[in-house]
Order: sequence, then structure tokens, then C-alpha cells
Amino acid sequence: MLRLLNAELYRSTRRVIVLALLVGYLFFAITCTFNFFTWGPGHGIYATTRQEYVTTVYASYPERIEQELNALWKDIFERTFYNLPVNLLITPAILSLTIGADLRRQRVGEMTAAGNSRFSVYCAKSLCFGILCVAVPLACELLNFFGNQRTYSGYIRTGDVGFMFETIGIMALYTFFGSMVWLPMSFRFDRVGTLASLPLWFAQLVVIAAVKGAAPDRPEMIVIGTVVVAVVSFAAGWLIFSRKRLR
Amino acid sequence: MQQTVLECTGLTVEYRGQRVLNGLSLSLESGGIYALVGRKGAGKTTFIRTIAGHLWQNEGQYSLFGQTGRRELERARRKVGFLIDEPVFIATMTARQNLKAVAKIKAAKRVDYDRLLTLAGVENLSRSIMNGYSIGMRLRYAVAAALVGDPELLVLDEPIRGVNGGGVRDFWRMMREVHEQWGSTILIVCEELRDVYGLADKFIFMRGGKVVAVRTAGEIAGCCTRRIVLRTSDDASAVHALKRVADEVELTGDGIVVLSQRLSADEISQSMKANGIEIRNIEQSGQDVSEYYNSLIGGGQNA
Repeated sequence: MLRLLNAELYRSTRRVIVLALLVGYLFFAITCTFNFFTWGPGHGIYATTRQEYVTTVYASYPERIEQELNALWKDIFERTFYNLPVNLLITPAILSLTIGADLRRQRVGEMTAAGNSRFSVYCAKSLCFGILCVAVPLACELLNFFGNQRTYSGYIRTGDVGFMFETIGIMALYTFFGSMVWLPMSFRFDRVGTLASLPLWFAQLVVIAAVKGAAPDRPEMIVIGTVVVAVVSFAAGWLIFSRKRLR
Repeated sequence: MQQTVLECTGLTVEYRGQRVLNGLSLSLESGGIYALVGRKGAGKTTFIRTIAGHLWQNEGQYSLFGQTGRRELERARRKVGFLIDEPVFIATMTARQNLKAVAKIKAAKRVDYDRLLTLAGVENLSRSIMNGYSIGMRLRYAVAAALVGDPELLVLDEPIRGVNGGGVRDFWRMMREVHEQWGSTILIVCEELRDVYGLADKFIFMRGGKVVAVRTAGEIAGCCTRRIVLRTSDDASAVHALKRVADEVELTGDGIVVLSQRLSADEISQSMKANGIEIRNIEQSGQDVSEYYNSLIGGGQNA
């Protein structure tokens, strides 16, 4: 299976990742714009403004500056953190629509005819899809980091680069599992695939909303919920894939 | 010593409530070139897809290299090179990069890429992406890809579909080269006997999802040699021209006698006209390959 995954990623390198990055970054730009308007000041401007505010207002109280800045970065982290589920759900959906068909066109039949079991082909394709879905927002986040110093300069200034990478790591984990929600659609672009993907998408939204509302201090519950839905999605995808006559 | 490469017994496949394969039985021995011939809807592609693992049979069974179990068949398929439908490749990668991807999928070690690229005739284009390849080049690449891992059986499903006359001749030349150099057993699926006649040693005829006849090349040659006798304005030039296209040409007291499995009197007349030779009398007897095929299989779709 790892060998097949390797082949898939090798074949995807040239066209899929480039396409995925473009689509992903475009989408990320849209969500960032959306966030800017919905939350008033966006992350970048908000951070800079508050940073200036904190350093000006508390100029006479240096001991409060550090305390307030820490509160500021915590706030930024939480906003990013809670914004992630939306990205992790919708970015793979866009990818599923754009590159899922491409992945499928690369002939699962070719792999089966080469003496690989259907299950290993399915696993390799699923993993490849998940990895691509991680690669997109991850690359976007890194681009964002270098492109939007106002947001992330605080991490560096406070010497908390590790904290930033932790955020990215959590996002990658979320995205990987979140992408699995769209697996059925990736393997079958028809009513069956769509009907299997949409309830899973709603299920994941409900899990995230419920955890946010009921236990805002326990984000690990979101991870657990995401993993549970991912497992169900994987099974649904396999059910569709294993019964399908390969083309 | 010859061994059985593929053996099918009573293979039945139903698709959307329709029985596409209907108790198909056949056997392929190692080392030969086989042609599976049948009209559209005869079940040829369904049969190939079944042995490639794309479809499951409803009844009957098949063995590849003596293996019948599901896992054993998966392993046995590694010794088979398939070319099903149109060639599969990533157009933005070079032929060498595409072959490397295929090698990863097949877990093939020690692949001689240069030899495969030479066979495909694209050794000078190793740095060009495949987007600009012609249909013939793509087809030759696809055969090279099927040969990754040195398969013992090569299965080609209607490989010459969409290829013009010159391309077909080049392709058959390539297949002979493959057979000589790789020594693989080859199974070619074709709709017309005429397209594959002269290449295969054994012909398996399919109709209605089952095998209706199996003939050797010699048997077909014995049945369908056409005798055409003609007199022309310039017999010497006519013989010279005919020798380029016909299997056997002889100048006798009755006129020029042409023995051919493919040429008809009409085609000879056209050829003579093109060479500026006038035909005074022409007669034909016997049947050609196409007529023989029609008499065996019947005309029309899924006949």
C-alpha cells in the first residue's frame, strides 16, 4: 500500500499538487476575507492594532505589557484554532471537486490490473487524497506566515515559534481527517457519492458546533469527533469503491 | 515445455441484468500470439476486464499461471501486462517519468528504461512531456508501459482502435519485435480478423459471450485463400506490381494467378489502374479473410 501511495504521490506531483495549491490558496484567501468582514478587524490588522494599543496604553506599566501581549496571542490562536474546522471541511470539499476526479482518472483499474488488491488501492488513494488536502492549507499557512508578518510577527517577537508550529500541526491533523469526509465523493462523482458525503459533512459540522458550544475549553473533543467521522467516511468510501465495477 | 498461462471454464459475467459473458471457456499456452476476435458486444472487453480484476464473474472460474484464489490471482497478475482502453499516462510528465510511475505501481525492480523507450521509439524525446505525443506514439508508449516488469503474458484490448493504416503496420512490427525479444505470450483483442491476420498464430472467435471457434493461422489460410486470375495489357509490369502486395503471384499460360488471403479482384483492379495497366479479363474464386470471418461469426453487431 505504501508503494502504491508513493506511486500516487509521485504521479500527483506534477499536476495535482500545483492545481491543489492554486485552488487551496484561492479558497484560503476567500475565507480570510470572509473572516475579516465577519469578525470586524481581521487577524492581521486586529493583532497589530491591539499590539499598538497594548504597548501605548500600558507604556507606564511594563509588567502589564507582557501579560496583555500573552492574552493577545492566546486570542489570536483561539480565533485561528476555531476557524480551522471550517477550512478543514470546506478546503477538502473544493479539492474533492477539483482533484478527486483527477485522482480517479489515474485509473484505479491500472493498479488492480498490476496485481494490487482493491483494498490497498483504496487505502493508497485515500491517503493520497488526505495528504494533498493537508499539503494545501499547510502550504497556504506557510505562505500566509511569510506574507502576513503582522499576524505572525508576534510569535517570533515573543520567542514562541514552537507555538505557531503547534497550531499548524493541529491544523494538519484536523485537515487530514477532515478530508476523509469527502472521500465517497472523490471515488464516485454521482448521486451515491454526493449523498454519502453530505450527511458526513453535516455530522462533522454538528460535532464541531456541539463541542464548541458545550465544551469550549476542550478542543481535543473536536479531534475525537473528527476522527470518528473520518473512520465512518473511510468505511462509506470503501463500501462504494469495493462494490463499484472499475472502469 | 509449454505451460498453460490462462485457462477459463464456464466464465459467466452479468452486467446490469444482462449476461455479457455466457459460459466462456478457453485456454492459452505459453509462447504464442493469440487473437481474440469478435464483433462489438461479443464480450471481449468484459472478459479482459474480468481477468484484470476490474469485474467479478458470477459463475465459472479462471486461472492465471495455474493460480485461482483471490490473493493468488492478485500475485499472478504481476506477471501480466495489460493495455485496456486508451493508454494511461500523465501528459505533463515525460515518457521516462511515466514509466517510473508504472514501475512503482507494479513493484518492478531493475527496469531497463532505455530499452523500453527505444522500443516505443521515443528515446530521443526523453525530455519532452507526453502532451504532444501522437496517437501512434502514445500507443507504443502504452505497450512499453505494459512491458514494465517483463510480463509473461501481454494482453492488449483493441490496441489499434483509431490508428491509421501505416500506424497499424508499425504497431504489428513492434509486436513481432516484442514477441521475439521478450518471449511473452501475447493476447490481442480485435474486432476484425483482417486487422490481426498475419500476426497471430491462433485465433479465438467470440460471439454472444462465448467462444464459438478456435483456429490456427494455417487452418484459416487453408480455408480462405482467394485465387484471382487476370490478363492485362502488360503482364510483366503487372506481376512486378502485384508481388509488392499479394502473397503469391505467378505468370502462367492462363494469365497471372494471384493467391491472397486479403486481396479482392476490385482491389487488384484499382491497383492496376493506379499503375497505368489495363485489365482485359479478371476472375476470382474462393473466399478472403473477411468473407471467411463473416461466414464463421456472421455480420452485424453481436452477431
